[in-house]
Amino acid sequence: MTAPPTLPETDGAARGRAGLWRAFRRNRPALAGLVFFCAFLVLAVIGAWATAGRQPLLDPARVRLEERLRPPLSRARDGASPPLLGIYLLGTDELGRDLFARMLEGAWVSLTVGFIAVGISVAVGILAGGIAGYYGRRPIRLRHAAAAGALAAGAILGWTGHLLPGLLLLGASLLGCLRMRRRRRSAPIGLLDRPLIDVDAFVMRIVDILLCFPSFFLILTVVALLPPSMVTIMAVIGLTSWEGTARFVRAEFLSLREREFVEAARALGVGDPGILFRHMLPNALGPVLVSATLGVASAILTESGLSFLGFGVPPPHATWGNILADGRRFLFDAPWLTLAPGVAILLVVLAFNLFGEGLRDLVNPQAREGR
Amino acid sequence: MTEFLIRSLRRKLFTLFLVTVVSFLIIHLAPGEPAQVDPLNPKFTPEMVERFRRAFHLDRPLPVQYVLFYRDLFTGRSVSWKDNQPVLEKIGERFLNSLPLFAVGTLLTWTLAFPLGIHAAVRRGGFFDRGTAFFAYVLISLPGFFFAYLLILLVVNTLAVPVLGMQTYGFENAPALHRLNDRLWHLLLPALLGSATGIAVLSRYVRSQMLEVIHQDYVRTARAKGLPEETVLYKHALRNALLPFLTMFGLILPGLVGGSVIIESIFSWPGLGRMAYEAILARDYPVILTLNFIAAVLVLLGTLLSDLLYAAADPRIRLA
Repeated sequence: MTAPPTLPETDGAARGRAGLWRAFRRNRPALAGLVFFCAFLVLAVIGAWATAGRQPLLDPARVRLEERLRPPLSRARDGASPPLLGIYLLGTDELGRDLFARMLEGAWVSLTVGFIAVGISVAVGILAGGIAGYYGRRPIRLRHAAAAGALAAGAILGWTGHLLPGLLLLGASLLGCLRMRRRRRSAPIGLLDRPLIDVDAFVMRIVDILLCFPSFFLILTVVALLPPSMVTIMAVIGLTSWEGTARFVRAEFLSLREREFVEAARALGVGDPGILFRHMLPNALGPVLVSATLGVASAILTESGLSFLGFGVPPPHATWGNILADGRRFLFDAPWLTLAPGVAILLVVLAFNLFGEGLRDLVNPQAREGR
Repeated sequence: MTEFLIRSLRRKLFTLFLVTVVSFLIIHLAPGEPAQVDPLNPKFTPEMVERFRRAFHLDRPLPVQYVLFYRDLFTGRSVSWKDNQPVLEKIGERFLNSLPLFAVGTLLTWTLAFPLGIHAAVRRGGFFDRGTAFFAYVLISLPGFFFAYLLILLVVNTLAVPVLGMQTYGFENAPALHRLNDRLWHLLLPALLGSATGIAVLSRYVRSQMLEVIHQDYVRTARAKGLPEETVLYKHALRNALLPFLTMFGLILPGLVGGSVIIESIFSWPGLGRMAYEAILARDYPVILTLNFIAAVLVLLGTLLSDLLYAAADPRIRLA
């Protein structure tokens, strides 16, 4: 691909990638955050590799009752099956399990939960905000609502065991949707074409409803009611935290929609999905990236909070939250069981926050002016 | 104005209705049953389970249950499934316990965040600014429960002051002064923890608002007129920077219910957050749904309040 001819640069906002990197590098806390994040990534991957399998290098589940609550850096006694190098780097817990191995396993869990939860929330947020911002005033008509309602009713019927009527209803509503697409403007049936609410207001109404639930309380309720698993937690955290992304993607799209390049794409005959995802989305991605980075930090915090209350990732997995929760009973006798996971969470979340703030300064030059 | 109020209230009522439907569906469609009606629970015979089901209206279709539940809630008749206490009474009692925690926490947040933020903005780029910035990030990133244990370690080990619960056991008959002292010590740590993140976030926000205002023309004019720096900062700059915080003032209301689940369970503080946690554990549906309803009302009231405050403070904004 050949580089396009460069325009005369006006200010910092128009600088190339190298310029951005230079500006980022000057923000030392953000750089430290990035470096630490990379180190954490490597550590988590190594940890996942070293603690998995039948004969792992570091076994997080090996119980050594004779080695209970050993302080960090203590040597393994004779006779016990020793950890790597014969040293308990971070000590052992109340069952004599190697804390270092458990922390490594927990690193991988935190990382997965953080990234997948944020992935879900960003995907939903972009979709909802993009649709709201792009279609804006276009009305949802009664027939759309009827089709969606029939679809949902069919799915619920099928889900609750009434398979036959459910499938029938699903099929009928799908057929209805297809027919609606085909004869779009031919014969408007008065009542079915009644506009109900415009797309933008509809999406924002959903956001309003979501904002009415205190987020941690909502997450706690749903996680407690559903059977415990890592997937549930990631999905619940992701599905309850997308409203911020949706809001500013919408705002960004509202202004992008009026720009010339979008008009040009439309004139060239690019379809709606093409305009949304190929032309508009890349221009709105900066702030999304910032909020995603900050979102990973808060997802890791939320997961550790859930684990701490006993609703987190279920037991065979060690997570930083449940190591800390188990360790609190030995707060005064074995403070390393509280300190190690606590400090680890602090450092990782801090790294993500610093890195995210650095990104924000880059993406949003007005904010930089204040520094 | 009245037109705005009516329209806004109508909209919010509709949102509230949808919230009640959604929360009801979440609770009732989730798999599993409360202990009292779980057929697998060995403590209850099938007849008892049947009786409980009838008493809780669980034998009726879902829409009927919905109507019955909210009828009971509004007429004050709904009772907790766990101990048959009236829900509103229970919540009222817990609310009174949460209130001092919330009040002291909010007070700490707002009184500490403003001086810190303003000072950092004035000394932009200096040692104080960098120091508070870093400290704020640490506070934001610190998991509340970990911070709590650090503080407990510190206070219990060095000062030997008991801090769990609302007061020390067996202190009920102590002299009033001692009792007050004891209560204050028990209040201080959870309130401080509850406000830690708030202080960090708010002080950063105050700083950025101040910085924005300090660069405005009217501040330069005020300086050029030769006004003392104090007057420029606190009269010309600060007053204009305050505006966005009015909106935030409305948004702290919902923190009353959902804000303190973890802190209250660590400190065994019998407040609303801990009640919510216990209710979730016991699948006490009436309590969960009522708390949720109250939280939603608080959120909606908060946004309305902040809209009104904003309009009252800023003549450029007209509510239409």
